Amino acid sequence: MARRRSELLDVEFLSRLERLELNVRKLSAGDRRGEVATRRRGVGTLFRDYRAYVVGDDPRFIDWNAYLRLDDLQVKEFEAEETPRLLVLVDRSASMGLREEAKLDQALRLAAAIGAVGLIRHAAVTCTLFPGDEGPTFRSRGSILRFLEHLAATEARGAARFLPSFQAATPPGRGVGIAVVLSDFFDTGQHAAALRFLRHKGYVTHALHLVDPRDGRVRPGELLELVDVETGRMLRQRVDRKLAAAYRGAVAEHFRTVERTCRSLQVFYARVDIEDPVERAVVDLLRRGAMVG
Amino acid sequence: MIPEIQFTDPAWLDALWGLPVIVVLYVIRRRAARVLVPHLPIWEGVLERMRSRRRWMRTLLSILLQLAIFTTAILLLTGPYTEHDVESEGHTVIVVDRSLGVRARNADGVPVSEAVLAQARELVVQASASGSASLAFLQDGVRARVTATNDAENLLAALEDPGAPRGRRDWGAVVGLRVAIGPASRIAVVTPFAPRPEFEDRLRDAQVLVVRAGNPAPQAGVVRVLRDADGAKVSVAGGGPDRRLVLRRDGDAIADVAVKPGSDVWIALPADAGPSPELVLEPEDGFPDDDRVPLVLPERQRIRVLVVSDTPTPWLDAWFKASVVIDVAGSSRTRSSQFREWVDDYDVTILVDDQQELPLPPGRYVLLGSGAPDLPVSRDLRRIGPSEPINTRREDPLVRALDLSRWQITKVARTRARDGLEVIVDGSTGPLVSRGTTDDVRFVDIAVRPEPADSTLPLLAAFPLMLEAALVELVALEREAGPPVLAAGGTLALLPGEEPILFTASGAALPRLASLPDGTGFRLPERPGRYWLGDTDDARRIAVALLDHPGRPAAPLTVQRSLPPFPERSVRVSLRWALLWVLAGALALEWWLWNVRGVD
Repeated sequence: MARRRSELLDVEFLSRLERLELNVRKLSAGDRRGEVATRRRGVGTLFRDYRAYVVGDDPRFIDWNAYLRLDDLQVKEFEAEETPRLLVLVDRSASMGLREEAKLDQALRLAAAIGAVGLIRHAAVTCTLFPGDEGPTFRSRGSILRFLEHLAATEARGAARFLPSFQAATPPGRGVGIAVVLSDFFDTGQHAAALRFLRHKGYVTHALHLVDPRDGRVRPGELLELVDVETGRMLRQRVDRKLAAAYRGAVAEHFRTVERTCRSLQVFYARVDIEDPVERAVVDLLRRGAMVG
Repeated sequence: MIPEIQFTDPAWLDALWGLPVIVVLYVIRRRAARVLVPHLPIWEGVLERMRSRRRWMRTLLSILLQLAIFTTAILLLTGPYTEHDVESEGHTVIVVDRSLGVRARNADGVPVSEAVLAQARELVVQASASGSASLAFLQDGVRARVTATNDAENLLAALEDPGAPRGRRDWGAVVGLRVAIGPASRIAVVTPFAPRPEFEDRLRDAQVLVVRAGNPAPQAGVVRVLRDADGAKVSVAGGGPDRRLVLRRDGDAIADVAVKPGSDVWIALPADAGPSPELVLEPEDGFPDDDRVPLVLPERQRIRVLVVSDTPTPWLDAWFKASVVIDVAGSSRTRSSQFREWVDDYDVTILVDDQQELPLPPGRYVLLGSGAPDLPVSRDLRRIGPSEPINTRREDPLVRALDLSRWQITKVARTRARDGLEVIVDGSTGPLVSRGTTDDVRFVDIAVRPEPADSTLPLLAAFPLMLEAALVELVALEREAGPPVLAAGGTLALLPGEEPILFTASGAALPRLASLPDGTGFRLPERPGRYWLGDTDDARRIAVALLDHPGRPAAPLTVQRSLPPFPERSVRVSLRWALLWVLAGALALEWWLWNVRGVD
């Protein structure tokens, strides 16, 4: 299902996003010698403070002038200048494509907005459309268009394989940063392992839960052939009112389970209704998630 | 080579038209709607939770099923069975009373034979439901109508046209039927009447069920008639109200007497009863067949009369010629001085206007203004004058037809009666008509001379009848009793030269009478009436009546019962198949629990 880039992110909204500042302090580790100063001390050009010398400090940073005046060894500290890293993980499994890919559309629009903010603020944005995509990394503002084209070219297919996809998207040696997972989280507990993996790798993880209210609805009184859209498995069942209500409750419980899992892993969790306006949802999510300052 | 296929019931091939129905049902059947769901395990989880609530019940059921399977398998090895008594099927013989007595009517006037047939139909249906049945009529023995069959329609058809009831109710034949058909069958006799007492025990011993049908009204009938020359002693049996026994001649009642059922009565046979009177019990009851007894009286010989008169008697002569009772050729007349030596040659001597000085010789006399010294009636010829009747015994046969108001008497001698004289008409000058008997003489006295100059008596139409009655009365004193009344269906013994063929009054011959098995005679017909044993004028006449006929109604039964069941027999029923079904069902259910529903 081909999309146009403007469907994901229009110019007006992009200009509004440019006013947002990516909160680099959330980044625990990005590429060194970047364009954004961080609170982390390191090798940079911006003086930050003095401190007493301890054994092991690099003697090159000893302020010999101060030693002469104070007769004490002081070491100068500089603020580290790092390139922030943003990992956008978009679930494009078949369940996201139900009902004319409504959830996938909403997820892509959110991913486009978040990624655009990152690129505007010189972050390295890696966009992984799982399953099946390790994801290219976009590093400059000028790559927004390519970033959007990458998103627009995707379509829903296959089963969501969280952990393998996340492992593939975070190869060893790549720096960590902010990870934003956009998914409907319709799986059987695998997403918890995947989020735990991200947290273990050091990512500040955000989980954006795409919710389509129609997923919990079924019309009672009919003999239904229930087909799993991802696995193709089938179940014939006559659905009465009681069973329909139980299913609705089970879906709601699944959503709560996802939320509890995220909170237990200190993963920012936000539920996004596919009917919500994407602009307001993006701004709200970025602020609530403190990704922008 | 394909052999040609034939069908025992090719009509079932029409059922192949049901094939399109299967196709239509397949096309229009409701199908499951296909729905894509994001995550099927959620559905499975929901279903699993819903099923898990009943899982403990299924587990408990599974345990019970396993116990049942084990127990059933053990029981199967023991070969269980039950014994219970069932009503066995057998053969039923329904004997329907079609004897003469079922002509009797009930209180509504409907013949009880209708009720008997209706009851028989019910029994036929009952009997057919529990085996085969036969149908027989109780009619001069037991007559088979339908032999053993299970077809109730066939049995019922035999009851549609059973013929007229007739013949005797032969309970002995019913007892004999038991011997013939054996003890395994049951016999039911449908009748309104109780068996005769001597058969009650025998029927009970033979296990014959007597089923009551109908309720005949109380009735009585003549069972015996003993004849003599003057009358008949009649025995009336049965019940009901008191009746009258009426003697009828050509339909006219000429004598009657009250009778109580269950008693005997004597009725006189008057001289004018004629040769073929009939005794009738009146009024009619529910079974009138045995209320009529035809009688046969002997033909009287024409009477030879000796007229004794010294003067011409034109009125008497004219009557003699017209009378059917006078043997004109054998009669004669003589003078009063010569009649004594001829009296014995004539039946009756008529003395006309003659006063004898000597006693009359033995004989029978009609005295017309005459007299004799030894008779209980005497006349004073010196006192002659008019007279008129003042007292009359109107029922006496001599004067029954006489109209006394038209009898005018101008000259008659004064008459005096003495002991032994039976006065019939008494007049103002003494007895006018009387009868009397001395040792050797029987006479009828008419005080008036038969001359129109003396009275109107010769002019009256009843005078010849009075004279005829007087002659017949005097002659009948010595007549014979006549043949006895024979019982219908009874035995007739023939005299030498007679053939066993009866002729009716119209001259029609009946079928030849059947000879009795013991050779003692021939069986009389069942229909009452008078018959001639030959077609000649001098052939013997017999009277046949329903006298104590074996088929006449008896006392009604007091109990009404339906068919008793056949003796129960013990049946052993194996429970193996039932247990096998239980075992198969339990195994199937257990398999379903394990493989389809799942058990903890």
